[in-house]
Amino acid sequence: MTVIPFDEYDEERHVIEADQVGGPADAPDRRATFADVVSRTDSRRPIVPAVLRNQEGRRALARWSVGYGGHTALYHLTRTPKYAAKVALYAPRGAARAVGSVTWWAVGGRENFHLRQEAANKNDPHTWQQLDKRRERSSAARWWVVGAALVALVLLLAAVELAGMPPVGWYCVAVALVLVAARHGRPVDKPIVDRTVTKAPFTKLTAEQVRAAIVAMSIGVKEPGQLTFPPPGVHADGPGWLARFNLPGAIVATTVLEKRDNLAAALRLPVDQVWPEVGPDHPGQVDLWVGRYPASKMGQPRWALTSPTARTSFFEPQPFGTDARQRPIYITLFESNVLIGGQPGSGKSYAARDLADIALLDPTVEMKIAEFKGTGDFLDMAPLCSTYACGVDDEALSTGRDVLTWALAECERRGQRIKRARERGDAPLGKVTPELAAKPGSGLHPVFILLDEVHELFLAYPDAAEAAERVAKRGRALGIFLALATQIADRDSVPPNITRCVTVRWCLSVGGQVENDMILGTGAYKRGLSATVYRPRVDAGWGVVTGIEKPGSVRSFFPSDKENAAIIARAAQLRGKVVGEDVERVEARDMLADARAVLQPGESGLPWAVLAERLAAGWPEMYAGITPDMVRESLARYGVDSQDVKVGRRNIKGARRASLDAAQQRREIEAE
Amino acid sequence: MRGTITATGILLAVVAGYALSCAIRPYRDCWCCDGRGHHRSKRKSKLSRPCRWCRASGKRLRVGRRLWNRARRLHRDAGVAR
Repeated sequence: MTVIPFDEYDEERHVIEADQVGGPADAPDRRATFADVVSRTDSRRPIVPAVLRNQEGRRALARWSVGYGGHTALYHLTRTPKYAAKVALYAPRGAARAVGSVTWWAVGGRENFHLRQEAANKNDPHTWQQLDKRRERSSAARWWVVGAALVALVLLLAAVELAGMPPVGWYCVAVALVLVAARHGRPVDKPIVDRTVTKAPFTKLTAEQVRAAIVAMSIGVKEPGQLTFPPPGVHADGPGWLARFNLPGAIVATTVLEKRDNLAAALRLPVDQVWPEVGPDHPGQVDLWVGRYPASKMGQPRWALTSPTARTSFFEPQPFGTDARQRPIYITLFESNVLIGGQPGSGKSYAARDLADIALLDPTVEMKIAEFKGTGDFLDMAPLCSTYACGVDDEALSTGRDVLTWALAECERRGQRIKRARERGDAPLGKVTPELAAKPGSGLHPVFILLDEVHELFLAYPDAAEAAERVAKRGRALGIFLALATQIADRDSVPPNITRCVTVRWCLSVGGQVENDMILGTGAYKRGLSATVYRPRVDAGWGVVTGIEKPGSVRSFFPSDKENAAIIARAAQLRGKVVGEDVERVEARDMLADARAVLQPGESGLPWAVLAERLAAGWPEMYAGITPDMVRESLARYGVDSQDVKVGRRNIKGARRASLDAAQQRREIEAE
Repeated sequence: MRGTITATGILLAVVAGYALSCAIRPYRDCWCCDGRGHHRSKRKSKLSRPCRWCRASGKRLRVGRRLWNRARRLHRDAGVAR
């Protein structure tokens, strides 16, 4: 506010207050207050290293130490004669060197040595004499020092002898002296002991490489200096290096992710050695992890489930694969469904197997496995499954459908149980809890349903696809886990609705962008989630997973046959008997005949909703939960059109008697 | 045979010792003035005169070192254009 003196007051006068121009936009720095300090959330580094904090880690460390130490000891032990010969050769040399260097020091040989040599070269005796006098002066007292040291040594030895040193002690001293002499006498580049391990050569990432590569990618970075590396800079992280850097300006990290091929080319490395990610701080930050070796050559750490004491839980995160940095990736079976897609040879069955192993090692989980490849990939698990089907014949396919029908009915039953539990206060969130699931007789134990090569089932029974979709939607909270594995996830073989309902999608090696996006969702390829880089067979098991904590590349574990057998044996031991009961094999019903049967005499047709209701009432074991749309689609296959049916005064879409009869006739003719 | 080996060994040791002394103590006392650098006159009243051999320094380069220096100079100058 501007104060105007009274005598300057004037009606005509306008005071325009200037906007404040300039000045700092940023708040000034101030000293940290106590409140600032106590509210800091800096993460404190753990006092006990992570590896020592759990039993598994301690055991692994001990195992490694014993193995490494044992190998080193045996290796050196077998080479003792060679070492002895070397010591015999080098020890005299070392002793001579020691004596020589002491003498040289005592006579002051190094004092103005080169000046004296120069004088001698030029035959200048006067200068030489002056220099020599200087040498003599500066080294005059040194012989006394050497003499005193020798006397002290002799006295010390005498004292030790008088104190009662056993002969063994003297031998030890002698051996030590000889070893020291040999160490002193060996050439610098010839160690006495050999190396016990050969380390493979590896690639080290430097900031310079990263800068050059990013500039070469031409994504808008012109100068190498534009990239900044927040602390701690490029550093070792697992079996490789992590470079966290900020891109300049408004360039986002996804531009780098999209051009992973170009980045790998610029770094002159194979694509599977270069793993860019979006950094944690802002969208313009890149976490570039470069392995020491290509991921396909690095092997895989041991799977925790192969441990002889392994026991999993349906409700807790379990490792099912590793990422490029060899860190385990976890999945919680509860509240998720998995869709696994990939071309033949991409490792689908093994990926599905990993999930099945997780479920097997939780003894409360009921297993239902149907695989429509017919090669018996899960045959060893069959004795532990309440339902197991294998093959592409009608029997297997109808069993697959029965499983889904059962699951749907089970959802219905479980929904009511949960409701009652909620009323009692046992299920506060309207979900199955671990306590409820573990309670015998609650009927809420977890169910694991795996359908391998599921497109076979969906092509044979389109209503199974709808059932699967509904199970995926409803079963999540009710403890029913659904895993679908398929080669092709296109519109015809796996309906898009299923793909949408599934929470975790795992795309193994696929041929192109279209297949990739069919499994991972539209736009996944563009966002850098692409499984097209993996080669079938060579990179089997590698894939991109979305729907877990951090979407990205995951390699499924690949237990050996022996480990597989051990897991199955352990699961059998944990379970004792098969959990759950086999599904009721419903005889396949003829919907057309049933539809005609429910039609009351005198009715010219029925709306879809009424038809669905009557079917469900008539044969609940088969048609429980059937929807009007499902009836319409099923009957459409027989050529029953959706026509107007008069109900009271209104016209509602439904099936007419004439149309049903015509369809029946057509079928009879075709059958003949 | 044994004698020959011993003789050769002794010879080699002597040569090595001489070479070493040429390297680290290249000067020895002048033989002419016994390292004094000057000769005392026969007549006591007269002053002494400087030694001509060692140019009054009292030290003379060993023959070995002298040869070595000559050889080095030859070697060094061999490539220099005249």
